[in-house]
Amino acid sequence: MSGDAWTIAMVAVLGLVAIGIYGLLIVRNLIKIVVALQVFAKGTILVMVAAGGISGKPAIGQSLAITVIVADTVVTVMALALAIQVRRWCGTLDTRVISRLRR
Amino acid sequence: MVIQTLVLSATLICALQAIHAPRLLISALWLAGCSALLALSIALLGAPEVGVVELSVGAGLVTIIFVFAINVAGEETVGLTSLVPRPLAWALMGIFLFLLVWLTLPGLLAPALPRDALPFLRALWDERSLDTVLQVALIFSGVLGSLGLLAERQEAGHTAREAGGEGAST
Repeated sequence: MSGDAWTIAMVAVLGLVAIGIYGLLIVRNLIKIVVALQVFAKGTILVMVAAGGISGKPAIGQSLAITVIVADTVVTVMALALAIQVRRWCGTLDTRVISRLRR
Repeated sequence: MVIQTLVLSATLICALQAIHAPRLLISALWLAGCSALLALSIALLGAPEVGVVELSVGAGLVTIIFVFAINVAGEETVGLTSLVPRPLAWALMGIFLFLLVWLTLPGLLAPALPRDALPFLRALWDERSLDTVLQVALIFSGVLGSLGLLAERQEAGHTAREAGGEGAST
């Protein structure tokens, strides 16, 4: 694998992480927040594979990428279950309304 | 190289659309597309096993769970007026990216280490077996946790039914 391919992968990682962070900051819908978190996690999966390739230890990077995929899926499932419960109890998914309920 | 660039550009476009799509279902479908394209690019980078797992779990299972959650919770379009002001969001994103590049650049520019010939399956099952066991435990706890969260209240249902029965008999 040539060095340019890893450079392109790292640029894509920066793009995915930037989109994920921006989404986490601006989005108000709870399910959409999970989507933004997923985009962020896609960046981390790609960076694991790329870092393994760059550092000369591809097997370790790939096994860590699989760990990230599994952990991210479990986090997503739990977050969506929580979002469903919030919708059931508060009647909305809007974080602005939910945070107002506290006061 | 050209294919890699095209696939990764399409991945970024799908990710951007997933954030910007007004409807939740459309957003989940864009995310599935992003995941599938990422799986393809990971396979092109020489890690087909990770690509397959990402395709089946990231693009398949997670999309099904998203569609289920959107069906249960209901489609609710929330406006794009954010809690954090947009300029502040852009500034925070810029700071985050700057710190990320600043921390990772020395590692990228360092001379490449000799390539490790450890096979992937040996690394996964032998070298990092603790990780694998922890993943199994994590999956079980995730399934049990989500079942606990999604479960309806049985006692409440019983008492309501009993009260209804009593009301009907009297």
